[in-house]
Amino acid sequence: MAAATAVELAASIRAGRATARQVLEDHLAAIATRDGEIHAFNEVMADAARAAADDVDAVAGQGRDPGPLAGVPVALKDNLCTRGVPTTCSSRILEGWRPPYDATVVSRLAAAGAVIIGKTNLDEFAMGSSTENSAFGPTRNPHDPSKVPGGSSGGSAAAVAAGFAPLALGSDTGGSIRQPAALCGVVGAKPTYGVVSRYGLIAFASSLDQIGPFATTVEDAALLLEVIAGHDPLDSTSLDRPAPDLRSQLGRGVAGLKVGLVTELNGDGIAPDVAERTRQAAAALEAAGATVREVSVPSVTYGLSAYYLIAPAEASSNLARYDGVRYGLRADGAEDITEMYGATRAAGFGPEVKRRIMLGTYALSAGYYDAYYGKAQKVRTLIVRDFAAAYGQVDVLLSPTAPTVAFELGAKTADPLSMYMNDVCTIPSNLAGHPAISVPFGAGVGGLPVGVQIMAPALAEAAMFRAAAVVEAAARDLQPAAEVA
Amino acid sequence: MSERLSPEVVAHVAQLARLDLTDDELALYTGQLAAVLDHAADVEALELDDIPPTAHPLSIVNVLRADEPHRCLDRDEVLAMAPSTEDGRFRVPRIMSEPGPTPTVPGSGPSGDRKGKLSPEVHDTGEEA
Repeated sequence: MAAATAVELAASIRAGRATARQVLEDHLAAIATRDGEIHAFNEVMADAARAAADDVDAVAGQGRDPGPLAGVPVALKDNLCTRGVPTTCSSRILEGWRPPYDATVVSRLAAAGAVIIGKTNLDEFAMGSSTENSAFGPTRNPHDPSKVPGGSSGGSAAAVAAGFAPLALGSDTGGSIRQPAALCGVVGAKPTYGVVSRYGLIAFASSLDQIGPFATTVEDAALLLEVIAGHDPLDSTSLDRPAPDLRSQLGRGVAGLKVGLVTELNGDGIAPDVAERTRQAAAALEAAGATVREVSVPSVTYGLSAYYLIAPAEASSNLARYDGVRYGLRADGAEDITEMYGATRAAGFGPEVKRRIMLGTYALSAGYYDAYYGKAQKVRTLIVRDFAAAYGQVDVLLSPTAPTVAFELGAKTADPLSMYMNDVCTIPSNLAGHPAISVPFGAGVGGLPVGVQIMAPALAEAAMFRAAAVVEAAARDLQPAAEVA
Repeated sequence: MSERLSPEVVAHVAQLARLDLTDDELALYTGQLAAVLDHAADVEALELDDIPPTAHPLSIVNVLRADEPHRCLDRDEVLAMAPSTEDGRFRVPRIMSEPGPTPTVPGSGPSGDRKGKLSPEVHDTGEEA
């Protein structure tokens, strides 16, 4: 589906050449036609979206500017709070819960004229890499419905890939935006930690979580990030600085930019087709005037182990609040409150969430804390140091986004560790708090999309997006991925 | 399979986390958690005595908002989402047990005291705004 970009749609609607209502109806029709098969959405907000679109058209009709995202439909991962609209985290424990407030990103989208079209499916509480851990059933990859879309933001990635929405938001704790973006053939970015407010993002691992954009183009992703970024007093970890100016930098190219191909992330464990595409992306950057060299970031090989101690530890604390008292599910028939807690959490959480809560509880418990959680935090320091050394030599780093193209549904569900391996290239940026983006770069085995990852130091989004735009342009000259049916 | 974890340890951890497990779940999770911890042996084996820990990517401390009054969440709207309420409060099952064996202390969850001040809760799901 060769749909208009968000930049084009907003320009048409602001100029009166198109209406927000008609743009919305086109996307609702696409959802009605195909989301029964794909299951990108937990909830399509058709009535609220029509009212929002009509408001945008009324503002435009009065000759006023509805904003930079005028009338552009945006899909939201269902762990972002929407006032009065069910927000489930794809978990039974929050089924039916309607938040009493909007996430800051939701308020900012509305203020920019965007039309929220629905809430997208995810791995329960964002824990997973395939969207198969949803309590409401898996999402399927629009390029091949027998394959997973990646995860945890698989619904948002699939919604953009299938043409259900030009833009979507996800959250990225260990790769949950970038990996599904790669598997679905769309652009997905994780900003520097603190650039986007987490207020109203239901917490998984608070020191790692960050909200970011999905789009079909690098420019659209930059536009969406500009709208949602910027300081928010409601999030104490929000950086007190203005939103970055990204789009004005996009055309500057990469002449003189120093690019490092990460040795440790393009060898063992990376499928040959993906590794080859990554080398081609490096060559494309070089052809555009960048200098490319191999750079070693040795401690990233410990990133996976450290992450799967740190993230579950934080999750075990954050998810303690789901106790059947203030919201969501409560198990009936308990004699006392302790029994109610245990029965509610047993009934409300799915298997992966239970696994991670137990792993985190174990890693934090007396006698094991120093060996696991304490060690993992020290490894985090090593990764921060190794990145600093690498960025002393180069401006941005390049690697695959995911080790393979999209895999079959069910292929990795029985072996959690093999599923965790999907995040090996994306985790290091979360541990360091750095920005990273996945850009589609041709096809791999089976004609399925391959994504390459560009990483940058904290707050260097502008250089990262410039490199991404060059990779995107080079990808147009490659054999295209299988057309989305 | 790893010798690292026994079903008894996993059962204890589940109890700390307030998760009732079936016998089948206990057996499954014992094997799966052991496999993850086996993988983590690479980290466990590192000599890192001289390396300081990193708990958070930002080095900010004591972020305070302006001390200005503002509206909080509407009580009725919040309570409408609770499983059970009474007189404007959350209603819960009995907390104190009948006289007998010492009950376990109902806590808000495991490990909260180990995480220090590094996980600001401003993005919680409904406790403040």
